Amino acid sequence: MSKSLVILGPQRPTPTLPVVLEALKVQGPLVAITAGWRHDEADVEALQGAVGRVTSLPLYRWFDQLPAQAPQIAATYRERQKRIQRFKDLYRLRMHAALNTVRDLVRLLPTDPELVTREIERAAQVVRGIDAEALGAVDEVRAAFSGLNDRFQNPWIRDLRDEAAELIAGAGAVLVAGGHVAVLRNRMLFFGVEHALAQCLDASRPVICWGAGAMVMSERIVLFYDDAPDGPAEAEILDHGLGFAPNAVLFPHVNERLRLDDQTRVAALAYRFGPHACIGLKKGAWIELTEAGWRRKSGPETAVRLCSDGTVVPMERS
Amino acid sequence: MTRVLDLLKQIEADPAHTIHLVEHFLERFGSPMVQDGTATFFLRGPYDEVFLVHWVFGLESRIPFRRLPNTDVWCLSVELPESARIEYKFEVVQSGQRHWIKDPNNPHLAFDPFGANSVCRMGGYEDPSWVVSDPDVRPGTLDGFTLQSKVWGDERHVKVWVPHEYKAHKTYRLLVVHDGDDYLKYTGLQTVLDNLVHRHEVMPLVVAFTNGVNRNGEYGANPLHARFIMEDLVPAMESRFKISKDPRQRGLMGASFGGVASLFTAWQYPGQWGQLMLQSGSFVFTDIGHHGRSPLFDPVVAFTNEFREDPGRTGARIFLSCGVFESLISYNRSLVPLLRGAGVQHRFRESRDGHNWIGWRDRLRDGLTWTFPGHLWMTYD
Repeated sequence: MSKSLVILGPQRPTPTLPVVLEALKVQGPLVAITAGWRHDEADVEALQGAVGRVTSLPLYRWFDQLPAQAPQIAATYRERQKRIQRFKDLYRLRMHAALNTVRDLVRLLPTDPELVTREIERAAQVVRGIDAEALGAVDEVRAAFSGLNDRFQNPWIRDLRDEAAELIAGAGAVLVAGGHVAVLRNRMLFFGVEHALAQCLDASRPVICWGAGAMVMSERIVLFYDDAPDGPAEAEILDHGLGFAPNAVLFPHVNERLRLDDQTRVAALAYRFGPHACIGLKKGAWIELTEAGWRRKSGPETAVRLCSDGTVVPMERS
Repeated sequence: MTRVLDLLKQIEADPAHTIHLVEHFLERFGSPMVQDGTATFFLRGPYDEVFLVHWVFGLESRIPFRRLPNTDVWCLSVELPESARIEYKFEVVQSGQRHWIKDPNNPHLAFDPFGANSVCRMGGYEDPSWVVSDPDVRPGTLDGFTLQSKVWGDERHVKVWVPHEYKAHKTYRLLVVHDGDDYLKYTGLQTVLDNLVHRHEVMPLVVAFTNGVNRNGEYGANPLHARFIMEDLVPAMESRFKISKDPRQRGLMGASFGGVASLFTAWQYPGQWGQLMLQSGSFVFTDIGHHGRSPLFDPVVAFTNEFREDPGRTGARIFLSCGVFESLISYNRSLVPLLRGAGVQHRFRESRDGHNWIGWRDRLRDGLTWTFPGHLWMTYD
C-alpha cells in the first residue's frame, strides 16, 4: 500500500501546492515530472514561483531524442503505438454499440420495468466486459512487442532511467503535474520511473499529483468529457495506470468535465467503472492515500464520490 | 399560450380593468411572454397602428398588432420554434408618422453596428456558457499593429490575439478574422477564444482581426482583398509571430460578406489556406436569370457561380453555418451536397436564428472546435 500518495485538485488559477508542501513538512529538493506539458515541459517558472526551486525531470525531451539515439527501439515503439491506436478504434466501435444498447433499453424502461431492468443490467455488464477486454487487448499488443521490454539494455536509455531514479531517490517530494495524460503515462513508463516512485512512496516521501498526474496513478485511466463540442462524449478506457491508487478511478476537474447534475450519467459512470471508487476532484481538493485508505484533507465539496445511484457525495473524511 | 388566453378571458370578464390586468401581466411575465411555442408581445401607447418588425425570412416581415378594445394596449402572438431566438423592433404609426422603437418592456437587447434590437428568446434557447468570462481562465492578450498596405495604398490596423501560454519561440496556427472589430465587440470573440483554448477545445493559435475600410467593396469577391491578405497581412504576421507554414494550420473566417471574402481569398490562392470558417456567407448564385440583389452582389454571384463548378479547388476544410431565419439559408444549404460530391471535408450547422452577431456568436464553438480542434479529450491540467 502506498504511504504518501497525495492527490490535489487543479493547480490553476490558484495553486494549493505551497500549503500542502508546508503541511507535509517536505524536506529536500522537489523533483517535478511535467512530461504532460509536452513541448512546454521545461517551463517550470510558474511552478517555481509557487513552491521555490524545482528540478524538472525531462522525460519528454529525452523521448524526443530516442529516434536519434536508438532508432530501432523508436521504430518498434512507434509501430506498437500505432497498433494500440488501431485497436482503440475497434474498441470504441464495440463500446459505442454496447452503450447504445443500454440507452435503448433505458428508453424502454417504462414499458416493463422489471423485465427491462434485468436486461439493462445485462447490457451494462457487456459494457464493463468490453472495457475489461480493452485492457487485456492492449496487454496482448504489448506482449507482441515484448522486445521493447529489453530497452534498458540500451546504454543510453539505461543511463537516463538511472538518472531519473537517482533524482527521484534524492527528492524530498516528487510532483507529477497534469497535461496530456497519454504522453505523461507513456513517458513515465518508458523510462521506468514507476519503480523509483514506488521506492519513494515506500520510504514515505510524498508523491504529489494533480490533473493527468493523478489519473496516471490509478489502476486504469479513464478519459472523460461530458460537455464535448459535439455533445456528450462517452468515457473510455485509455490504458493501465501506474496502480499506486488501487481501486479508484480519478476524475480531475470533475465539475467542469462531467455533468454532475445528470443522475443518469453519474450512475452509469459509477456502475461502469465500479467496484473501483469513482473520485471526482474539484478546486482545492486534497486527498491522500495512506495505509488506512483514502483520507480527505480538504473541504467536503472539494473531493466527491460518484455513486451508482446517481448521487454525488463528499468523500469520507478521516 | 394558456397565460395569454387567461388574460384575455379576464379582460373580457372585466374590461374596465384591462390596463391594470395587462400591467400586472407584464410585471409578472415581461415582454414577450413566451409559452408553449408562442411569443406574445405587448405595447401600450396612443398609436394608430403597431407592427412587429423582424428579420425572420419566411415570416411576413411586418406583422400587425391588434388593439385590445377601448384601451391603448396592443397585442400580438406569434408562433416560433422552441429553440428560436429572434431580434425585433416595433414599428409604431402615429399621426401618419412611422417610427421604429425597441420593446420598452423587454430588457434583452442585441447590439450590432447599426444600434440595438430587442431580443425574443424562446424557451429552448440558452445563452452558451462559453461566452461568459470565467475568472479561472488565464486570458490571452489582445494587441495590435498598423501595417502600410501596398495593395490598398493606405494604413490598416490589425488587432492580434495571442493565447495566455504564448511564447515567441513556438510556432502557432493562424486564424484571420474578417470584420474583426465587430466580432470582438458583438460576439465577445476574445472571451470565447480565452475560454475555448483554456478548455483545450481549441488549439492555441494566433488570431489576426482585420477590418475593411470600404467593407462591402473589399469583401465582395475582390481580388485586391485576397492580395491584401496574402501580400500585406500574412507577411506582416509572419514578421511578428512564428506562424506555421503548413496550410492546414492557417485559417480564414468571416460572416456574411466576410464569409465571401474568406472563401474568395482561399479560391484565389488554392492550397494556401487549409481551414475556412464561413458564417452566413452571402453565397448568392444564379442558375438562370438575374440574382435580384443590389449591384454589390454582381462579383459575389459571379464568384459563387464559379465556385459551385469547382468546390474542391481551395483544398480547404470548410465549416459552414447559417441561421434558418436568413434569406441566405437556401444558398448555404445548397453548398453542402456540392462539397460532399467534391470530397471536401466540411461541416454544416444550422441554428434557429437570423443574420446577426449573436447568431454567429452562438456557432463559434461549433466552428472553432472543428476548425482547430484541441486535445481536450487527452488533456487534464
